[in-house]
Amino acid sequence: MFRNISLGIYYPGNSLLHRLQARTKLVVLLWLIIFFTIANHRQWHFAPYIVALILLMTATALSGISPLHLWQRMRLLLLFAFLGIIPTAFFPDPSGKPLHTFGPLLITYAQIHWIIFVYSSLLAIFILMLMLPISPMRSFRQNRWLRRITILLFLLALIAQGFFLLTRNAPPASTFPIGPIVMTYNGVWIVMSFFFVFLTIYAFSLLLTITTTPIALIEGMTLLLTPLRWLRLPVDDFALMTLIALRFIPTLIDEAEQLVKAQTARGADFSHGTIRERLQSLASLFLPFIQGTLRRAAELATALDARGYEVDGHQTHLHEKSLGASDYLVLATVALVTIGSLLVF
Amino acid sequence: MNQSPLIDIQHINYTYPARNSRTGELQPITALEDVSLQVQQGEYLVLLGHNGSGKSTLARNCNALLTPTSGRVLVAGLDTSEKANQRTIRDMVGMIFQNPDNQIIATVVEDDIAWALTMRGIPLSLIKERVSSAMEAVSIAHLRSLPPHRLSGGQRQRLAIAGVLALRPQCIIADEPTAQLDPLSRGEIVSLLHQLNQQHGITIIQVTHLLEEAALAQRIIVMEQGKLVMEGKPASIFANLEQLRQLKLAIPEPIELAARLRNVGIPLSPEALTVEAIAQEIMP
Amino acid sequence: MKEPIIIIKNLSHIYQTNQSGPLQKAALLDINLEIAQGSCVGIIGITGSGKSTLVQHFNGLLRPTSGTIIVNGIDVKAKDADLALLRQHVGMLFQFPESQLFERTVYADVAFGPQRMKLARHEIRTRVLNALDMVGLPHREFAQRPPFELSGGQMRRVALAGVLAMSPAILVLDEPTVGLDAEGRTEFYSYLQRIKQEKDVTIVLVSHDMAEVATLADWLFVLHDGHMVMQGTPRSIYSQGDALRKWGLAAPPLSELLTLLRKKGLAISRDVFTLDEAFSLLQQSRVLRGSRP
Repeated sequence: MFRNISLGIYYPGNSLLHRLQARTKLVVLLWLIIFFTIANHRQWHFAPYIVALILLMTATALSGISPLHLWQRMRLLLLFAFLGIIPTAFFPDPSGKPLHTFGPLLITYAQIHWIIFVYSSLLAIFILMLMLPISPMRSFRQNRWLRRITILLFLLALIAQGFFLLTRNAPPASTFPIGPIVMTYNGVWIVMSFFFVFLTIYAFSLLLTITTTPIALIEGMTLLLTPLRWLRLPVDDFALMTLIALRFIPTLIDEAEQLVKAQTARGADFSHGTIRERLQSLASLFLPFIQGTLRRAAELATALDARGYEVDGHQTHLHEKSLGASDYLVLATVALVTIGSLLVF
Repeated sequence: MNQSPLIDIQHINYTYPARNSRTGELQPITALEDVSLQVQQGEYLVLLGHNGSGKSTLARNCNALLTPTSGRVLVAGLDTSEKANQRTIRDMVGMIFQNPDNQIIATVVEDDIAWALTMRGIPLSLIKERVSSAMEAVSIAHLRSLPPHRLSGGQRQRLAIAGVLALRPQCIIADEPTAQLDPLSRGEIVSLLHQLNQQHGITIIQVTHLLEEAALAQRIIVMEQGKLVMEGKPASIFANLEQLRQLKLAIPEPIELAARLRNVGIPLSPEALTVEAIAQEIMP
Repeated sequence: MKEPIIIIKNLSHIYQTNQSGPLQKAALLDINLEIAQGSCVGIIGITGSGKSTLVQHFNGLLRPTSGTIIVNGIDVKAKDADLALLRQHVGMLFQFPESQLFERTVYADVAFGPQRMKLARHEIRTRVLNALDMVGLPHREFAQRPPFELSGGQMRRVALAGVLAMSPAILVLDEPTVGLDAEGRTEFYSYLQRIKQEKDVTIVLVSHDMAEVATLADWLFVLHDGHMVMQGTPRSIYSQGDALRKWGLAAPPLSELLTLLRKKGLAISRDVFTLDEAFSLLQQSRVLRGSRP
């Protein structure tokens, strides 16, 4: 079923969300982004976020997509986002009210120097052992992950040595403070709100692409960008570019696979061999692929010329029609609810 | 001919700078030399020649994709070198190309056929009608919702033809559409072109290097080094096998067989150019 | 008959699709075949018949889901199979091979394969120059030119030289003449003939055009829908036009003509196959019938 649809992320269906015009959904998404930007200024007011969450749950229910499926799509990226945002809670912010302070850890210079010395000696012994030509060591050397970690550790040792050099004249008893690490109220708020916004916007855009065909999306975007056309910006060309890109992705993937096979059959190896050999193997993929794509583009341009490609802004739209009752209803509901939540409290 | 020709080519030359494949130097290549040709409405014309003979260049001069370096080309009276005429000319004379993939731009079959129509602001209901009839004419209605990469080569060529048909052209130029297809698909496409010619009166100009594809044409023009060297009905062209061989064209074995049998006195009609016709002549 | 260089027993290849469960696509089912060393075989079938999938097992690009395949003594399915070595023994040219050229000079591109084999500089040089001469591109003229200055047919021969320079024991060509005109086709096949004679290479031609492989192949395998449905000499295969049509293939025009004549009652033995044979047969039979002077 999926292979029939251009990109495999559109699920055909007949839910309310499917029946809405692409423009409506795009406008709602845009509005939510603006809405969150406004809401973010007023800290510690949870109403807008709760309202957004309710909207999200309603939309999921109305789309015929199971929440579990949505979650499966989202979880990896969410995890990364969460991990990435945590450090900002500890970001030094002199004006913020501290929530909690992890006190400074005091170490004397003498202790630091001693740690550096021990670490460097251990690393040196380790590297020397690796260079021994006995067979357990050889298998260690083959393992490329081990090689990479060793290089990292070695760099760390270099930095440590640099630190040692810079501070060797410091009196051994004086202390070097690590920290303090302060967690401010402001920081915590940023973490929470960012994460929430990310979750909501990501989920909504997933719902958008799941319930809207690529072509309807392109047409919707083109219609929404109409004002730019008055500024003589190439909106229609942009729409065509997007359409062509979507159309050719499967074809180009096939061509790339074919090229990998052809070059592998000639002995190109992308994972073994010296750096130079591997780069050459990669070049054997890149260059022909780009040439092939350029050649394809030239032929396609000729074909488009022959079909009389000329845009004057009066295209008929195949999928976007005028807004219906459900569109207006959805727009009105979203607007009321979100603005309402901003005004409350 | 009483009526004026659909395409009137008057003493055109076409030159362009290109790299000589033997020496690597840049030099002007003459692709067409003093070519004059008239294509009548409703004709089925085949441009025959080996690769590099100039047949594709000539074909592209017929729908204003290329304009001649000297001389002029008139399509229904309109000069191709005037930019203002180009859109009208390309509506009248459509073209399909050799690579089935590089002429399809939409993500779904029916949207691709409709694409050129949407460019012209034609109302949606009329578009749907034309798309339906185009799909019927080339028999791909059952593929309407599929993305193009799921179609076979022959089906993609039929899709390209449908896309051109939707514009209701007077003439379709097929630039070696079968070169990358398997033998059965080749035959299907050629039959389709004949069908469009006979049932819908569309003028067809087919560019090819295969003699067997030219067998059912009304008129064949053979090209070599940018010049027209032979012209006539298939029977008279095929009678000159030696000359065709010298023009680097492959002679299909049945035709060769029939010629050899004729040479030893066995009377076979020179009109027999297809396998079926030759079989009929040998064993009536 | 010489020793078989490729032995395939009960080979199946089933594509795993992303969906779970029974949505598996069988590309090849229970293929059995042997290819003799030094022979030239054709593997015929329409797109989707599995012929490309099959030959990609010959150099380890694909591994069988079940069954065995031994190529020049190497068991492709084995976990520790030396695929790099296998790819030196099996040279493969895909469709439109001119699109895989990328180096700055013809010499460098042809040398790409031999360089991967870690040969000495002078050895590589000898091989490259020989390969170029073998495909009709005299090295004095062509070795230092950029590949993109050449015509399509010439570029295709550069790709062929690139494979030949690796001195493979088996040469696999997937639709080698698609997109070439009559002259290009005859030229390409004449070089293949020469390679076959001079180098004692086993040649495997993959095609959907039967007429194309008629001149060169000693033996044909016909695939349809992942199964091997026919095998035999071209002579015997081509006379079965009706069966071929069922599988989406067309016999060469001459064979079709002979089949039609047979249907009309003319006695033509199934042995008659080439143009000359058909001509002498028909010439005699018409004379014997004593019809018109």
